[in-house]
Formats: sequence, C-alpha cells, structure tokens
Amino acid sequence: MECQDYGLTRNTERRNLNLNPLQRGGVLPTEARIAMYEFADGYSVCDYCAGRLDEISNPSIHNFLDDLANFINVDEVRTVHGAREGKFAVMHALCNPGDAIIIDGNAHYTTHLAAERCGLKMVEVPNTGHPDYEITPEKCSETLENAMDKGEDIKLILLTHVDGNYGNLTDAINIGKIANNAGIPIILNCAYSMGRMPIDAKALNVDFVLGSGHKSMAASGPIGVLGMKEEWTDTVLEKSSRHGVKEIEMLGCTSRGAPIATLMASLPFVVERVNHWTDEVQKTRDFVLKMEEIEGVKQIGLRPKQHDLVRFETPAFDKIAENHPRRGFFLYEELKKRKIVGLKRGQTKWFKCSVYGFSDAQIEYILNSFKEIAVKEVKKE
Amino acid sequence: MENFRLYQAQSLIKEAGKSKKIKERLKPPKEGKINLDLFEGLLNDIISAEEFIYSSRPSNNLNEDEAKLFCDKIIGARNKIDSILTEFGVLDRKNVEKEIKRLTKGLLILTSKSNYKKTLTKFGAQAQQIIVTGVPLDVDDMKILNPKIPDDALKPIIKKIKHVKNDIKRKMDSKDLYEVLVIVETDKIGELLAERATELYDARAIKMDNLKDITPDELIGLISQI
Repeated sequence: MECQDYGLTRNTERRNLNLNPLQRGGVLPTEARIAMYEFADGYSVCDYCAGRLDEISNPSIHNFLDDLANFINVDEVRTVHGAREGKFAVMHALCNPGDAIIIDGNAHYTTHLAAERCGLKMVEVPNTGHPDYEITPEKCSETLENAMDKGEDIKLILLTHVDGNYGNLTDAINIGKIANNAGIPIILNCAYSMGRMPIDAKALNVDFVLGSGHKSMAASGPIGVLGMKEEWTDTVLEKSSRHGVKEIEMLGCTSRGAPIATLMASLPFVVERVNHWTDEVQKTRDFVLKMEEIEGVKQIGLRPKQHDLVRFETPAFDKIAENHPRRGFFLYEELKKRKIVGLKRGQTKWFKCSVYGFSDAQIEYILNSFKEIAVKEVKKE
Repeated sequence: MENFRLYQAQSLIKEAGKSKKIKERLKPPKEGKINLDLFEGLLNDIISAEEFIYSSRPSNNLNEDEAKLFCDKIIGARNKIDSILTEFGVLDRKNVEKEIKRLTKGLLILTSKSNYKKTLTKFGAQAQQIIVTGVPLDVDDMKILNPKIPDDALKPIIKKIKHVKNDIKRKMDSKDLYEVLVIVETDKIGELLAERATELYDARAIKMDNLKDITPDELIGLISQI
C-alpha cells in the first residue's frame, strides 16, 4: 500500500504571530521541546513502570503529581487525556444514567457530550445575554432551586471557570459555596485558566478541578489534569476487581509519552508564569482599549477583561467585506500578509483572539496591523 | 606584565599574517562511531536556539545581546557537528592539542574539580599549569557554600586555602606564568572561585554549564574570546 502525502508540515507558529486563544497557552517552552524529543516514542515513560502510570518514579511522574497537586491545591490528582475525559470520568463515577446535573450556559460542547455519553439530563444556567454573557451566582442558585423544586435530584454541578466564547471569568468562589451549601459536588472546568492563572481549588470551594495541558499548560497534549478532594478519591479512583492496581475511570493508564513528558517539563515554567497573570490581564485590557479605537470594533463579554481571551464584534470589518473583492476573506488575508494568523478565514462580523504571552512590541505590531488594515480598506471605499 | 603585552602583540601579528583563504574541504565519510553525547547536545542547542525565533516574531531581528545568546547556541551546535564529522573523517582533525597548548601558554589555570583538570589536559593544556583548588580561595566563601559548617571544620580548610595560594605563587614564579585563568562550571562553587580569583589575581574566567561535555573546539573558542 502506498500512503498518501498527509501534509505534515507546519511552520505556522515559527513564522507568524498566532492570535488563536485556543493555542496561546499550549506553546511549549524550550524544556518541553527537549523533553518531547527525548520522550517522543509511545511508551517512553514506561521503562520503569510497575503497573501504575501515576506511581512511576523514573521519570518521576509520582513526584510530578505531588507538585501538581500542590500547585492547584487539591488532595489527589491524575493526568487524563484532556479536560473532556476528566469531565466524563467524574460524571461516570458519580452519576447514573438518567440523573440530572447543572451546567452553565457558557459550557464547552464537550461538557454536553460527556453528559450525553453518561446518559445525564442537563439543566442549564442561562447567561445574561448580549453583551456580557455572564454566568451569575444568582442565576446558578435560582436554576438549582427551580430544578430541585421540580423534584430533580441534582447529582453534580459543572461550572466553566473561563469560557471559550467570551473569556468570562466566573465567580467560582460563590458558585462553589452554593454547591457546597446544597451538598452537591461541583466540578470547575479550568481548561482556559489552569496554567495561565493561579488556581487554588480549595479556596474556590470546588470538589474537582479540570485542566488542559495542551490548552493552557504549555504541553503538547493530548493531556488533561483532574484534581479532587480526598473524599472523592474512593469513588473516582476506584480500582478494578480483576486488575487490582488499575483505576477503572482512568482505564488503567492515561496519556503517556510526549504528552505527559512535556506537561512535566513545562510545570516549573507554568508555575512561574502564573505569577505574571495580572500583567497578562493588563496587557489584554490595554489591547482591548487600543483595538476599540478602531471605529466599529467593540469587545463583548464582561468588562474590564479578567482573562486573555477576547471576543470582538467587528461591524467595521464586516462593512468593508461587503464591497471587498475578496469579500469576507480580506481580513484573514491582510493579516496573513503581515504574518498574523489565528482568526478564522472568512470571519469579519466578530472574532476571538488573545495576545497571551506576546511581548509589548509584538502586541504593538498586532495593533498597528489591525489599524493599518482598517484605515487602508476604509480609504479604498 | 610588559612581556605579556609584547607576547600578545606578537601573537596577534602572527594570526593576522596567516592566510584566511584556505577553504574547508569535505571528504567522503569513513567508518566511525557516532558520539551520542555530541549528537544529543547539538539537538538541544538547536532546540534552545529556536526560542529566539518565537521571541523575535515576526521580524526575526535580534539586538546585539540576543544575537550573542542565539549565536552561542548555533556555534555550540556547529562545533559539535564539526566534531562528529571529524570522527568520520569528513573534516580533517585539527591539531587541537597544539592549539590549546598555544592558547594556554603563560596561563595558570584554576579549576574546581579534578575531572575538569582531566578534561583540560586531555585537550592539550599542560598539567603543570593547572591547579585544582578543591576549596574556595577565602574561608568566608566556605561559609556561603555551607552556612552550617562548624568552626572546627574550617581549620583544615584554612590550611588548604593557604596551601593553594602558595601553590599559585610558586607556579606563577617558577613556570613563568603571567596570568590566571579560571575555568569552572556556573555553579555556586565555580562562581565564588571566579569572583575571588578576579579580586586576588586579576584573573579572567570561563564559566559554562557543562564543563565535562565541552569539546576541544568549544574550549578553543572560549579561550580565544577572553
């Protein structure tokens, strides 16, 4: 059999400034790139495995998990294939098909899929709508009470810490309290926050936290983090009756090789970088202010920004697209000419972006590029 | 000191007089053994250098400081590639020993570990010109290295320091050495030794991360630069 050319060439990150918020937190530091080379082979971390991934001492996955647990302040932690697998594992361990759970209206689609896969009924906390799209503790409380009044036995609450559409940071502390007071376990999905900003699971009043290595922890992935309180370990980390050391919800072992090696190699870098979170937020706020100097560009979602993911409504660019020979593709193409990527091709009504991790000079360059494109195209009209 | 300046000037004139037009010729490879340490090291150098691509996007312009750091990595990789190619006969083996002997002529080399002395002598430095200190050059530095060290334990160290300093003086006088060069790793012991030797003997210093992994070409490059 002759295989096809799969087009496995990519120089996007080296040659461009990538604004895709999904990708900003997963860029590897040098240490992780070296680890990726060393641990690229499939079972490379398993040379000294005695049956449990989390107990391997060389490389020191065991010590790494201790450090990771300290970093996010949980009693127990496991790596999983991604945040979505973490959601599924907890839902599957705590709920039975037909049970009801509360989820927020800004939840990632994988929250829905995980719940569907477990056969769970989802009760959604609505957001406040345009322009803030906020998930408030009051609405959470109201939704929970209404559901309980209707006789629903709510088994779990899942809150998205920072959502992927608007970059809103939810009030996890107070929503956590609501869950605690109701005696319902709560998962905080920190895929967009763990590794970018400090996370203290206990201070946030949550039972479980989920992180994403490839999204926000400078790992190649696929890999996620599932942290939990001690009281849930017996349920979520229950062992197999046939294979005594294997944890059922983990299906034995989770991500091996390069995903976990890069996550491990990046941890010291990530631990250090979260200390600069307020600087990153300030950079984002400055970026928003300057972008909004372009007429017809407006940030939506909560203001001022508390996260680097920004969603702009951009009727100005959409108007240009109406008469532009390249129509909706003009913005993507003009940015690409300036070595800026990450916006979806054809998108001009709105877009999401992030300048997380870029230097001031790079952000200045991005801002000037947007302004230059707007001025140039408006002049043409 | 005047003699040293004269010697330095003569060396520079000799270097300038050499033809720079000799082209490097690559020969067909012969059988040989891949030096894995060098191969892994050069990959690490290249991966580390990649960081500068990300930080300088999209122009990829580097200022002078950044350029130095970037080029150090690339030169490190180049030296390792050259060593690998030399092993396979693709490049002629330079007479590195002769070159290192020439570059270290008149220098007293201070280093902190016997292993480093072994490496330096293997590359061509003269053993009589090297002193392994084993201790810092000031007893207060010992307290920095080990704040809990009891006073009693300091007595033999004071004696050893005195011995090392005598040895330095004796060699400087008897071997016609005019300058002290410290070659150490960038650890606390190395940093303190370099700092104190600079104070005491106006020494120059070469500090690097993995001294045991240094190649002869890298050593030549470093000594030539100071």
